[in-house]
Amino acid sequence: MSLAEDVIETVPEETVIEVTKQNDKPLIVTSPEHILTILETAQQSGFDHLACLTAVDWPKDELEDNAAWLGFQTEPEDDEEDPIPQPSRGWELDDVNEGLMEVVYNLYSYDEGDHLCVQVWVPRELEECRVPSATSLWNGANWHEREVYDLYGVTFEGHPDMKRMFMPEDWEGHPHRKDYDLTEQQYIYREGGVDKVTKDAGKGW
Amino acid sequence: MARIVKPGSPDEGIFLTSLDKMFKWGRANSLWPLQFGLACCAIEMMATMGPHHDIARFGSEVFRATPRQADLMIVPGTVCKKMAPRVRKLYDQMPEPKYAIAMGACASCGGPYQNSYSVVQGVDKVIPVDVYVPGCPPRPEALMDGLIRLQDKIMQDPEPDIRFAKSPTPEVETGETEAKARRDWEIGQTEGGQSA
Ligand code: SF4
Repeated sequence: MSLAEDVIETVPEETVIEVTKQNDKPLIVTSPEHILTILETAQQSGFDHLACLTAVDWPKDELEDNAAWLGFQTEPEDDEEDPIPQPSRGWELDDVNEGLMEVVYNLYSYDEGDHLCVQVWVPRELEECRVPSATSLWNGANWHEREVYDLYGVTFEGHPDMKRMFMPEDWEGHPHRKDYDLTEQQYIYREGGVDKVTKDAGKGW
Repeated sequence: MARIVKPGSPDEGIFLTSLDKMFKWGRANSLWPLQFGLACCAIEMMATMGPHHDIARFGSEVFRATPRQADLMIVPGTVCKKMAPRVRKLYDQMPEPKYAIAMGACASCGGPYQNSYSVVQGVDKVIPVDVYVPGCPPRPEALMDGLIRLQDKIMQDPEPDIRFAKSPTPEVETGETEAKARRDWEIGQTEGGQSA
């Protein structure tokens, strides 16, 4: 039995929303409340390396466009009027307001060479876009989480140093969000040894 | 330009030119680039430095690791907004006369990173650029072509070398009051000299 199957067997059933495969690798979908339980179990089972922690932004219209592919709704049967919404990733399409943010954990085991993917789907709105931090399990999660916070605006609760990773502190918006405003460019200049943001292209150059 | 004396004449072996042109010739053929790279184009710049393409043939092999010793800034790659103030600072630290080559699509106009949140759309927004080398990345031959064009540009520069330029008269450069103050100061100097 592979390590990933081991984890899927061990974790309490109520913590798992969905178990599928992604690119032939096992994938567990869970909720923000249970993510730490799953990650801890995985770590204890031998997934000693958090290979990648990232996010995918799904605004509502893109969710709708990709609903069938994501499994959010089935194709309407010939004799049925409306498609039946299928619960998927812990969400029904009707419950989604602005969209969803998919936070992905890619785990790897050096000993077994085994992969496991864990996903959490949270609302896309900035105030609700919150996931518990995995820094208590892997120290390497620290910078991953800061990066995701910087570029996607996901707040990791319990992170020791939740601030931007790349952009200056006063940068407006989170650039990898699909609704990021590119019409008004922001520029960076140096003042007192720190990077500052300005809307004036020539400042500081 | 230079007048080459006919072989066989009593002046053989003498080469006549103006000091200004000689300086330009010297400067064009010993451009010392600043050694720095910003993205993938830098790899191609390193290939140009290497023995196969050998930029030394054009007198430009001495890549300096400090801007104080460089007079050519090859900007090889993507200029991020975060990097832009630093590029400007390096350029400001180079001594005059100095030149800049924008290498590749990124440095020329943003290249593949059009309308990006993090990339300056061309390094000419940050520093004055003399030669743009297109390509993504440009082959070493293209960079050398850019260098040769820069050399032509330096040789054909109508402006005299900064060392031979006449110092501007105060009336031209400065305002009336400043010119008067300067005249007064000069008179004061002469008078002081007389009384001493
Ligand atoms: S122009 Fe192309 S090769 Fe050069 S830095 Fe940009 S992306 Fe890289």
